[in-house]
Amino acid sequence: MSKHISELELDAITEIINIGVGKGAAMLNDITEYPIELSIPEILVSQISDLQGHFLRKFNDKRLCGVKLKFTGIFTGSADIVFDARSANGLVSAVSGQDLVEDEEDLDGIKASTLSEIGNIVLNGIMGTFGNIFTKEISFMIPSYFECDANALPEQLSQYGGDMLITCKTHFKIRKLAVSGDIFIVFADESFDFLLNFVRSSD
Amino acid sequence: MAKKILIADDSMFQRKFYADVVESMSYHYELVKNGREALEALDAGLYDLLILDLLMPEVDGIEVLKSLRDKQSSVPILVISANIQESIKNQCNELGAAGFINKPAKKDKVIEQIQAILR
Repeated sequence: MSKHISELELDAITEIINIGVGKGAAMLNDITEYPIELSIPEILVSQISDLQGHFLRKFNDKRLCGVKLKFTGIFTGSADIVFDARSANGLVSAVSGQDLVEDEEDLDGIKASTLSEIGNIVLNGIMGTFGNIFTKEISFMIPSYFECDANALPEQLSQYGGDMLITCKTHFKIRKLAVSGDIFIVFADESFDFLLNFVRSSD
Repeated sequence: MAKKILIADDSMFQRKFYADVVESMSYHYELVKNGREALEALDAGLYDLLILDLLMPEVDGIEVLKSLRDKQSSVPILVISANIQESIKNQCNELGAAGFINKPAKKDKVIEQIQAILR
C-alpha cells in the first residue's frame, strides 16, 4: 500500500494517537501525582539510519532505560517508553519512595520492576485507548525492560520490518521531578495501513 | 479469624503495594507471581479473595479466570489490570470476576473494592 498520506489524513492519525498518548500521560500523572507536559505526537516514516543520527544527537552517550510492550491484533508492533538513566532513577525514586543514587549505573531488580510496571501502565493506557476507539481487541505481550545506548536504540525499536520504520514519537516532561522521556510506537506496515484505511473510511 | 487474600501479580512493585494495602486492613496475604502459582495456591489452600493481574507469564489472568470458572471455584476475584480495553473488562465480568480496577490502582479504591467483595 502506498504511504502517500495527505496532510488531513496525517492530522487525523495524529489526533487518534494524541488521544492515546493523552490517556497514557494521564496514567503517568496518576502514578506520580505531578503534572505531565506532553509534546504533540510526531509521525515519522523513516529509515533506521535516520533515527540513529537523531538519537545520537538527542541522547549523546547517555545510558537509556526503557520498557517495551509488544502488541498484536488489529495492530501489530511495539510501544516503547524510554528514559535516560538519570530520569529513570528519579522517576523510580518518586514512585517507590526509595532514595536512589542518581548515577548512571544499571538499575537493579527492584528498580527495573518498578519501571517495568510504570511502562506497562502507561503503554497499556495508550494502546488500550486505540482498542477502545476501534472497538477491536489488542493483545499484549508481557512488557520487557531494556537498557541500551543511543546507537542501539533504533535496533530496539525496529523489530517489525526492514529498514523503514513507521514511528510515532512524543516527548514528555515531569518538571517537578526533573524527569523526561520519550514514547515510541512502531507499527508493522500493515497495521499502519489499517490506521490509514480507518481514517480514509471515516471521511 | 482474619481473612486471607491471595495476591497474584508478576510485578514485584505491585505485589508490595497490594501487600501493604491488605496488611493495613489487618488481613493475611500470600504472594504469587504468575497464574500457575495462583492456581496451585488455590488448590492447596483456602482463600477469601484472589487479587489477580491479567498480563502474567506462564498462565495469564484470563486463563486463571477460565480455569476457576471450569472448576466452579467460589473464591471471589478482584482483577487489577493495566489493560483499559472495555472488551477485556467485559470478558473478566463474563468469566466471573467480582470486581475490576484499572492500574494505577489507588489504595482507597483497592480497599473499597475488597470491602465490597468481602462484605
